[in-house]
Amino acid sequence: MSEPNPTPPAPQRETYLPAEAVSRDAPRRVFSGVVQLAVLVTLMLGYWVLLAGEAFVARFGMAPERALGVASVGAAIVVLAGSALAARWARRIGLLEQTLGWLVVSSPLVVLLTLAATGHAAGLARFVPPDLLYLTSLLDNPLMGLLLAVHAVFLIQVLGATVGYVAMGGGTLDLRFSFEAHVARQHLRLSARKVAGVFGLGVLSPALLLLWPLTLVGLTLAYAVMTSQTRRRVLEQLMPYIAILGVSIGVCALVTVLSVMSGFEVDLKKKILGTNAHAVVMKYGTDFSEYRDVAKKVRTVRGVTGVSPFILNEVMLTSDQYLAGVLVKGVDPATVGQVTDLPKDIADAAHGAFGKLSWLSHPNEIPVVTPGGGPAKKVQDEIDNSVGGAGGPQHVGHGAAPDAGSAQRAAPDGAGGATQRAASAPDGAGGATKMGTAAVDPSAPALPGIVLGVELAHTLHVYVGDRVNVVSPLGGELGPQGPMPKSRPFRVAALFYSGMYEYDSKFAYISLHQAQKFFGLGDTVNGLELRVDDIDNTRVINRQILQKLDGYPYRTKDWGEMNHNLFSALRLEKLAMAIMLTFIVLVACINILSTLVVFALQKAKEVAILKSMGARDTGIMKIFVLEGLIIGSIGTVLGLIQGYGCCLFVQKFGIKMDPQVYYISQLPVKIDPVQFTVVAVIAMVLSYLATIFPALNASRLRPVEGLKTE
Amino acid sequence: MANLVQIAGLTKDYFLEHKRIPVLRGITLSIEQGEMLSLVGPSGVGKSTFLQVLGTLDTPSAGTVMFEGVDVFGLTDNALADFRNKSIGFVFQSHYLLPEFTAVQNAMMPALIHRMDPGEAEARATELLRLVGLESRLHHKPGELSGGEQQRVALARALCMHPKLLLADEPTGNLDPETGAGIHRLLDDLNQRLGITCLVVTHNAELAKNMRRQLRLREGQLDEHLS
Repeated sequence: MSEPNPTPPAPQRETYLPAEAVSRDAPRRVFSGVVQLAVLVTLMLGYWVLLAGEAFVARFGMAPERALGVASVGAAIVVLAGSALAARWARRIGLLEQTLGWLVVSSPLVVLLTLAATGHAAGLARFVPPDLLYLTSLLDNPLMGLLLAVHAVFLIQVLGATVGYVAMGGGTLDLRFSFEAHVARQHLRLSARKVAGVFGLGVLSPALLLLWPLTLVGLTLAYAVMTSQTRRRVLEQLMPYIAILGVSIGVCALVTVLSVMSGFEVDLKKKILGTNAHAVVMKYGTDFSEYRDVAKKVRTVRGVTGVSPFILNEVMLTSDQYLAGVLVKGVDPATVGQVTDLPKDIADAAHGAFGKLSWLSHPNEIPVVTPGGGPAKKVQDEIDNSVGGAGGPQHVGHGAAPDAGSAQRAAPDGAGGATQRAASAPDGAGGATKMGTAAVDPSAPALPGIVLGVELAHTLHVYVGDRVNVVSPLGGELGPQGPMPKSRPFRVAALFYSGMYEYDSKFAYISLHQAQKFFGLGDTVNGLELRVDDIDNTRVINRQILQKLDGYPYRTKDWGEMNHNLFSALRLEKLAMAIMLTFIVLVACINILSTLVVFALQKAKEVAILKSMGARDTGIMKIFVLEGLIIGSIGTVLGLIQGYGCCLFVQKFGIKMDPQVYYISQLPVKIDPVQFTVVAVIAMVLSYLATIFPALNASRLRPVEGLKTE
Repeated sequence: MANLVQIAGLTKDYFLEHKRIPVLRGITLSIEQGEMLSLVGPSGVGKSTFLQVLGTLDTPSAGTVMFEGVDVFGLTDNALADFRNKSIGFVFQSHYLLPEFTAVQNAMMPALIHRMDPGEAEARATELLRLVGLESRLHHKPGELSGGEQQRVALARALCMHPKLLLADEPTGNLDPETGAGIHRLLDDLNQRLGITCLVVTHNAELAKNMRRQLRLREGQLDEHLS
């Protein structure tokens, strides 16, 4: 009699088994109330650790974002360990309990956090770590941030439960991989020589890609000379290597793009924080006259490295024919260098900056181009002619230096004619004088100085020594038709280059004294600018400053708040890019999954033989998890090496960009070990998750079924 | 001799398109420790199924298999796996060696599964391969061995954990008569020297007659002859 295809019914053990024969550690049911309770307690405990942990860690003076990071790691460990213990108790992964627990805990949390984040339920905010709200608000979409957070929690649950099942599914902790590693290595047919070959090819891959026609011809020839049997064997053996290649490409793309985006962020941050202070102290109202005392107090706060008063107002600047709306900032030339990079930006001659900050305080030292000057004058004449202006007469006596941009265009080397020549003078300031085309004119009226951005000077067609008018619609005298705009001439004392078009085209600096005088503020300021030793700790320092100043009427703002839109856009863009590129890694990991599914099918008989020899389900699972992790780890390491190579290439040889358009001459790259580590962890976690389904599937194979497979 | 296995009312049914096909019909059998039994019967009668159920590779539809007084099908999956590892040795008709591993690696696999120290496991496997006359083929892969050699490696593997019960499913089915006779002599020798209980499924009536107890499976029931 031939055996038909068996579809065995569920064994009726309970009908014939004596109670004493049933092991005490019998497997739990599909759903267990105790396990469900354990999952719920774990999640609540994890959330409590996040909430209380941040407050606890912050007591030690750690920066809020770092404190949140530490608390998050603590909470993740709690959830991971709790989920693992629940799986050990259940002797199965317990996905049902984990999912239900996650839904029960996460749904109200998302609602609560969203309400708190959007300010609809301010009272609930105390149940939310303040920095979590802050961070999610930076994404400009708190709900998206919170959803990402709760999904990360579920991922950690699944990780914990599967790791718990693999490691403790037998009832005791068993982290040994003796035969499992042996079998996995044989399945993958990996040897040290082959792995070295993979790395060699990985390193050479850019060359192979560049010479793709030759590579293609080589592969075609190699394929042609193989016998059909060899072809089949090679193709079979290639499967894990194709999966490795997929992971490495995904990881390489992810680290390279993130490094470039980090480079942009660092560059932007550097420029913004160079022009702006790290924080400001302001006062409600307009009578901030005690700023000197406040500055003294603020200086005593730990972490504050510089304090400088400022006045900021919107005005209009006019030159002979041009005008521009700008932000004019009154600064103390003696202390502004403590809080911003203005002195350095003025010294950046390579980008057209010129002049001296001290000329703000001593405007009579500003060089003024004399009439009938040499080259500088000629360039200005060219500009005047080209724009159809009659620039000559009005420049007489007030200097006729060209604007920086035009001078750059006129100079054959493209580096800025007069600017370059002036900056090349040994003192870096009196270039025009030494050329004999400009001189300090003792008869010229000592107009107060003003420092302009190079782009602003370009717009106004002015240069150092030229006169500009500052016009404010407010504070003028009353005329027959109402208030008249207030206007005052200033002499351009210096040009600065910050690297940010927005700043170089919109900012002008005058001395604090002149600003107070011009805006009629008396001896008051708008606020104090601060520089701190650790920009990530600015919010903590701000809190300490407010404590020192007894709070109201003073308030503080950090750089993140002052540039909220820019940084939140940047973060959102980076996050979106990271998520999109993680999908590449995900696709690569699905390749791992498909490889393992094929392995599980091909090796069904082998699995059955191993089971007949006493291999446990968790042992079989470990084999497939190991296989996936070996593929994932080789792919990840290879991808990181390739990514590092790409970043180094971009850094050393660079991808040139037009500085007139992008304000950077080369694609910026920041090689951040933390970022590389995060990408590696993401790739490994995804690789691990990709193994779960085929590993579970293989482990559940009944030996008798496996033995029947051909 | 002590009772090793006690089978009572062992039933196994297969289902084909919801139609119940009984294969084993309430088999009752007692096996003493150190016994050597043969099981014969026509093809498709359920000999392999009986062996698989006895070796816990498959579950019965009804009935009990008591091994040293413990109902093995009442054990958890992990306990059952440990039971297979320590107490049962399988030799299949088609040797079922792991093709990527050498003879010694195949033979030491049950010991590695038992988490034995790899050095100790290898020493034990080497000793067993020497016992079955393969000391010169330790590092050969199954593809490089003859059918008889492969079956002897399978035998060494089955003996690796010193099982109490050796189940051999037509171990000589794919071998020429001479090699088959050699395997049977080896089984007999192991039974004599190590006291291992053996249940051998065979088509070879002559070989079966050499065993003290001969079982015949017919229409799902066992007949027994003593020699």
